[in-house]
Amino acid sequence: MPDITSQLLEQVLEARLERRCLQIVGGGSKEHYGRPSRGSKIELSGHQGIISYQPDELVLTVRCGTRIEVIQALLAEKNQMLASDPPQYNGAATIGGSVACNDSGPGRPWTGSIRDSVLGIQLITGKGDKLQFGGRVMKNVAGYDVSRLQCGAMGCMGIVSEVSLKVMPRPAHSLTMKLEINSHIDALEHMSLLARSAYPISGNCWIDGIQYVRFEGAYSAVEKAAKDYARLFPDANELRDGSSFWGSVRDHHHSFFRSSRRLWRLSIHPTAQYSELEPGLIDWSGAQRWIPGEHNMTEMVAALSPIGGNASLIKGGIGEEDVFHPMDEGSQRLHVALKSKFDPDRIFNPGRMYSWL
Amino acid sequence: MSRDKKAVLEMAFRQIVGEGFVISDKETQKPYECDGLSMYCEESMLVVLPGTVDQLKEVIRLCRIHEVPVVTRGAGTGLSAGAMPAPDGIVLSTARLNKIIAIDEKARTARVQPGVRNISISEAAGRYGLYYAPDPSSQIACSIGGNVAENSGGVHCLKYGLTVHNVQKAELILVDGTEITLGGDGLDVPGFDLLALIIGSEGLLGVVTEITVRLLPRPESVQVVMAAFDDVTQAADAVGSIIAAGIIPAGLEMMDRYAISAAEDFCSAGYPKDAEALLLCEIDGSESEVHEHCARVAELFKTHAATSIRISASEEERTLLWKGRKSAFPAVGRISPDYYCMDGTIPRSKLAAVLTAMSEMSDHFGLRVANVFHAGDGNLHPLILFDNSVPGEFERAEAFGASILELCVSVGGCITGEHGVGMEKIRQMPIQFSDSEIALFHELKHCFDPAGLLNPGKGVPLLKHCQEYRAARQFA
Repeated sequence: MPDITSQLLEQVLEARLERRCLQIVGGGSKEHYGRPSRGSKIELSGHQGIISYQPDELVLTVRCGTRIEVIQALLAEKNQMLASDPPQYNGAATIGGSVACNDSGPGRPWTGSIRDSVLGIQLITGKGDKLQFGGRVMKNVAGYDVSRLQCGAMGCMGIVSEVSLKVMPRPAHSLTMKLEINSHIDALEHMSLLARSAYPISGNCWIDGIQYVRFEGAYSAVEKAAKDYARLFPDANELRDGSSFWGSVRDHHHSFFRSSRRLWRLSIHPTAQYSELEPGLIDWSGAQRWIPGEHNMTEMVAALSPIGGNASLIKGGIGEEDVFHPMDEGSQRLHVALKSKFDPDRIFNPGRMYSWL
Repeated sequence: MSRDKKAVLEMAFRQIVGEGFVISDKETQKPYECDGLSMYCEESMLVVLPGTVDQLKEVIRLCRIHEVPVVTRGAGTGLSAGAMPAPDGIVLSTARLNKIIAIDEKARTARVQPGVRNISISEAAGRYGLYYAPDPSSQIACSIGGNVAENSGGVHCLKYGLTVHNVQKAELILVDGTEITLGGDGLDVPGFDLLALIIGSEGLLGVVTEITVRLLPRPESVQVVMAAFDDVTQAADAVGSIIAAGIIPAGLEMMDRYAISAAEDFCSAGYPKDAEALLLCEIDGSESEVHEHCARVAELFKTHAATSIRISASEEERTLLWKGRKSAFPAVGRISPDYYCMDGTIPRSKLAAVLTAMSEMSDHFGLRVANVFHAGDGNLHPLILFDNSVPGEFERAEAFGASILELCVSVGGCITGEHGVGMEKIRQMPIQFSDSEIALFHELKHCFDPAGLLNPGKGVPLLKHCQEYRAARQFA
């Protein structure tokens, strides 16, 4: 697979010279996420390939255009995986896009986000510099953590052209139990109870009146957890095809995501309760909630202000409206200042995250 | 610093924090002259100990107005001179900000002030069956604020992560008085990950006034498998095979011959003193899982020619086996008047080569070295033995240390895994970073602290010093 770093650098330098903005595009699977940007496209899907993979060091280094599906298949050969289980969106999602959006699967509260597994990056800045931060070792505290700073930054500070990640062993066994719980309030209580246990949980979600819990880990521990669960909740039973269910939640194939309504995602205190916003899907043990509805950002901010948390409009954004929860003035000032250091001419993804960034 | 300015500031600080909480005399300031790396000492103008967050904010406001440098200090257990005072500045101690504000059992989080000791969090959370996972060796003394500044690890971080993986939210005050909440009540927050940027920033960007950490349920069972080897490479390969078998131990520590012998003399844990390498592998989880994995690990040790294997049969035995490792530093301290602890990280596959090279360096510098190693994550702590009372020995130990750090970078590692750069490793930064990368670090600092008042002279070297260092190494 080709290394096209030098072409990417040229394109950045050219754009900078012409004062032309660049929209960073990987596999194109996350167009629904964030605001529309402007400028010409800089395509990263050709910048593919595994640079190194050392299974017994748990370290993988890849080019940003490498697809998640390809990475997971390679890791599976050695019985390993990307712990954060990033969405694959029909195979189109790339590692670069997943890092840029810090996109995680249903196991996020237990296995961490992609930000948690990033060890180092190569970054192409708006000045056309190619810089290295972090490294390929598990622990590295020299210098500021510029690598993790790029996770979720949606390319606003630069192009993450290579990334080194900590990978994890695949669990030896996986088992999903389901239980009917009609009200989302009861489901939250149930989730909280589970989360406080020492069982090897790796998924805890509620949808369509059903509570799903996934146990993963050593064979004996998983079997014991499932048995205890069934004893405590006699109405619970095993979901046969657990992996396709969790895959449908992760990749948004589940029928819940097919509605034509706008879709909000809340990142919130896991036990927070509120009356105005009825969730259609609760994930991450209560810390992530999906709300279908025609609310606007002002209404969401008002509804969340007494209980904390933040809202993102994931589907159905109209025109120029802001889709991410507004931040305080101090943080906003720091965002602008940081952007100006990495990308002084504001060529990367202008407006993609916030209208003012 | 003029005597008048000092007197004026002293009075002003006393009005903010109270009479007894500004230290100005040389004698009482003594303990604040250095952190855990006592070779780096400096006297500050004043030491100020605010008792509330509001007082702390006032102190910072005054420092901004009078352009007084601020070195924030937790428990002073750091090992890179990150808390060494600035002579014309104040030491801002968080020692009195030591309240656990709340433990949220349901969300499994604890809200704490920065001066709270690491171990106090687990003690307080214990009544809910919860604990705080990162456990640096200094955990009985070190503060959570200091852990945030250094992104501290510990023996359990291969499985449970560093501070950055276990902090959910923090309140930060910038030197211009701006107050910012980093992270949030949920798991992810839109926008740049400023929380990750602050963690490990060594007090150069802001002062953290409150921290929300994540807590974990206590595992049902914990056991340790100990194995001795008469060859370091075999021990390193054994570690690789555990990982390749899909087992992530809670802790995986290695000691070399020197460290084994010192630790055994110190606390009689039952380590075989004739071994070249000793591994301690801790497994936690459910009873059955621990049982299953301990047996598998013992089997793997056997295939890698372990000369002896011991599985702890009780909590007492587990504690005893750990005791040797945990006291390795003081144990080494007993066989040498002084020691200098290094902190490089390397890919584990390079361990044997690095140890061989280090042994050659040991001959070259005429100083002994003992090694303890967080084998699971490649974090090496060579302890260079020297005698500070012999003229020139510390300088030789420093030069030896610098060579070790260069070696770590040359095999694909880094100059510091968990102790931080501080004052100590600032000269080695240009081995790991280019001038453009270091220039960017300065620009990041400028975004948060344009006047450069926070922990000046630490963490990031001046570019001209980088060029001088590189030139000097070329001709060394």
